Amino acid sequence: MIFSSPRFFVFMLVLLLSLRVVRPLEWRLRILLVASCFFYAAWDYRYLGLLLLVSAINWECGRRIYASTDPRPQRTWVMVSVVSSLGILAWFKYANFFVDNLNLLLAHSDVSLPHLDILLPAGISFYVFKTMSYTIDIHRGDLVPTRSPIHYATFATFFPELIAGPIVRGSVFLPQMGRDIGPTPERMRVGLSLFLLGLTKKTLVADPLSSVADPMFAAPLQYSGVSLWFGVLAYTLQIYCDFSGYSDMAIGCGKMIGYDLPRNFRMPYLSGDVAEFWRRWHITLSTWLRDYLYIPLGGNRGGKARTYMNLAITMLLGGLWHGASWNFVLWGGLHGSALAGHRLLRERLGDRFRVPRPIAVVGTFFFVMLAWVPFRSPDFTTTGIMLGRMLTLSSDGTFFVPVILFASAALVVLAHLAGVAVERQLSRRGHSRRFDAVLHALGAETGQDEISGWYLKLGFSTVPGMAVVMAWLLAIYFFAPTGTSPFIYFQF
Amino acid sequence: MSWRRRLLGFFLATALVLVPAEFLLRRINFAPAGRDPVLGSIREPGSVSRHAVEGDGRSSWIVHGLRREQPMDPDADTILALGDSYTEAAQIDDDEVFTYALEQALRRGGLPFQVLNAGKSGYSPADYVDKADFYRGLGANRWTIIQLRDADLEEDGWKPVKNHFARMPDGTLGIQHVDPPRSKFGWIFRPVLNNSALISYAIERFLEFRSAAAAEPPLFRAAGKRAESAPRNEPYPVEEELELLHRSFDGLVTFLYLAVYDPEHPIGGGVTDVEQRLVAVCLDRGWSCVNLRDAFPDFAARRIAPFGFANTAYNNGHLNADGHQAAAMLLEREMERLRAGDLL
Repeated sequence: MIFSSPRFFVFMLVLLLSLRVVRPLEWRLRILLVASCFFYAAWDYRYLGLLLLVSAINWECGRRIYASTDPRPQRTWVMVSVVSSLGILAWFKYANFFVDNLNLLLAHSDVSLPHLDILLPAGISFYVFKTMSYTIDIHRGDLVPTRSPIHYATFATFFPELIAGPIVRGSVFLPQMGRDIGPTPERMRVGLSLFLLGLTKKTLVADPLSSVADPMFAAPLQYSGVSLWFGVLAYTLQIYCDFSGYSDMAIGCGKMIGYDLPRNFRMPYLSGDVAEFWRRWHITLSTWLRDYLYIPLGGNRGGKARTYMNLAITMLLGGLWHGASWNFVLWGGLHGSALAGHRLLRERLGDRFRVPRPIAVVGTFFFVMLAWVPFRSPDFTTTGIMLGRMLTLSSDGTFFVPVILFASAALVVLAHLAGVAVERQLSRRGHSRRFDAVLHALGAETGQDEISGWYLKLGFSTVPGMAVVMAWLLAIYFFAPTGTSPFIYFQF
Repeated sequence: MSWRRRLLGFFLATALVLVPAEFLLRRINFAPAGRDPVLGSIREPGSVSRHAVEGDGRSSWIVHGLRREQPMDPDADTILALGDSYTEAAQIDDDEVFTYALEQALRRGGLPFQVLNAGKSGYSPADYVDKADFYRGLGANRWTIIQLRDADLEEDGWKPVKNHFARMPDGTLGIQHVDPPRSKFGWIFRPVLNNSALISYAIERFLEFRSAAAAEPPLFRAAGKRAESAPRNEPYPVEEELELLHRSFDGLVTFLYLAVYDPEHPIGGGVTDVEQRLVAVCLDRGWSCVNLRDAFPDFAARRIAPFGFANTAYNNGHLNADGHQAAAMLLEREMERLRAGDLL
């Protein structure tokens, strides 16, 4: 059940109506829990048990850690949580990767391991990280475990972010469990605004761009170097709009129900360096890796060499988290190297040399764009062909100019300009009466909360506001591709 | 704000959006529909359609759903082109379609034929056979071009929801006639649909969304695929289908086959079973056949593809203007060969 499918609209409508009608909070939570399980089972009911098993293991470990005052059993239960969670993840996600690589190593011998018939459970990387952080937070003393299994199960299975994030920690979600959930006019306005924004990114930008990028990654030899640059640019915009669109829709659904989910993107392609990119891209994963991997490895506390090593390990594993393929490892390695290189330069040069911000943004964008090549390519051969043709501006192959890419790019640039204007407005650095007047005329407002950051609430109260919303909906209805294509991050 | 003011505001906002949307959609996708006693729903005679969703085409329509700017001359020697949306070619302008280019080329070569484009989206060879008598009566018919793709001779020609090939009780191949569904209230809605791009495209989109929803994977088993229609136990009788088509037009037929283009292997890449069988039948029986594949080396040299558009995808989708030009060139050569052999 994809967010942009008609089935999901029916599901959401029934859920919101139920939450509106049923009064006691505990019953509403039960409805939400059942709805979340239904949502997950709609993908493939066979793996609902696995989700509940991973959740139950971490619930029990968290309970025992909190109940114990002795550090040794506490450490034991943390180990049980981490080993079992990562073991399940490794089995379902990496077993065949291991088998394939072992078979490659044993190619000259008679030994050959059989390929395992394993189906990747939807969202496993996300819910394993989420529930594992619950026990680690309890062990660190950052979180008091909830005593209600219903509250915990609602957190562990909360459907908007279950399949592809944002990765919500218990310390963010569980304190909200006392809220009187259910739709209110204000929640619906905020939630629908975010959902509409995400739906637009997905259906009007990401999905059409896949028709440009997919054929080029499938057969790069058919295209000239310049065309491949267009293809990679198309994928760069596609993956951003696809994933951030999903996150916006997830946060919007959360808001309609009554929960705030953490922001996952903050205009990452406007970053001035790779470190800033990771503070703006898939924020909940990068902060997770920082808090549960980079810092436990020693962070920057063990000297320069150790810091670079920790950065590299974190990014390599971050790459591998995306999927069982050496291409993802290469992508993580590229980002890890760039992070280490940037840190080294910053330490050596300090403030003596500063690249002008626009040049830094363009440079970072090009690096990130090139790094998407191994990320998207099915294998190293394709990566090599693509990069070779792009960097030599090869004239072999078709010169294809995809008009749709330029239309989408213009839309993304306009949206970023609006985003920058709103951020300036909110930070009060560039307070603009004109901006205020435009928002007011449209009946729109900006809103902000500690968890989700800032957001735009569309206007339904003024004639221009209603006209904008109506035109927006008509644009999606008339121009979105029919048929629901899965979000890119569902495969991770 | 009182509910009256709110309601007034809503109507005002609706008008503010719908009026420009109507004008915009007239430019993007608008095709007034008419009715023909034999063909059923056709493009309104005398209308001009726009289609910019894939490619960007402006098409003119005359009687019997024929795509043509000038009126049909009932007494002129006629070459009729039958086909589906690839021949109809709403994605390109009138003067880019292969029928127009062929007519011009033949005239230049001293063959004053009228080439009529009877391409109709959704049609398959079963429809051409079913309506062969009608088609042969269009103009002074001297020859017929039938455009074919693999799907026409495989699943599309056998779909039970429309006219389709079927085994007759005596074991021969025939046509199962299926009347298309017709709304009782069409006479009420047609004037509205023909005058509003907004409403007609909204309905078209609704139908697209409905079929997309029907094709979604089953609930609770997203990983499993939706059961496809029962596979055929035997291969499609391509040779018999071609024979039936050939016979229905008294053998005065050229098959225009649109082969799959593989830019990496333009000569031998992407050859399908249907193509092999069609080419074999043509060679074996000495029938007139044109294969777009013959133009592929030229496409490879020019680094372009016969299919796809800049606003959709490269080499994916309908035949583009270059593809039509190539088809016209190959057909002209074939018509001259037929003329030289006194067949035309």
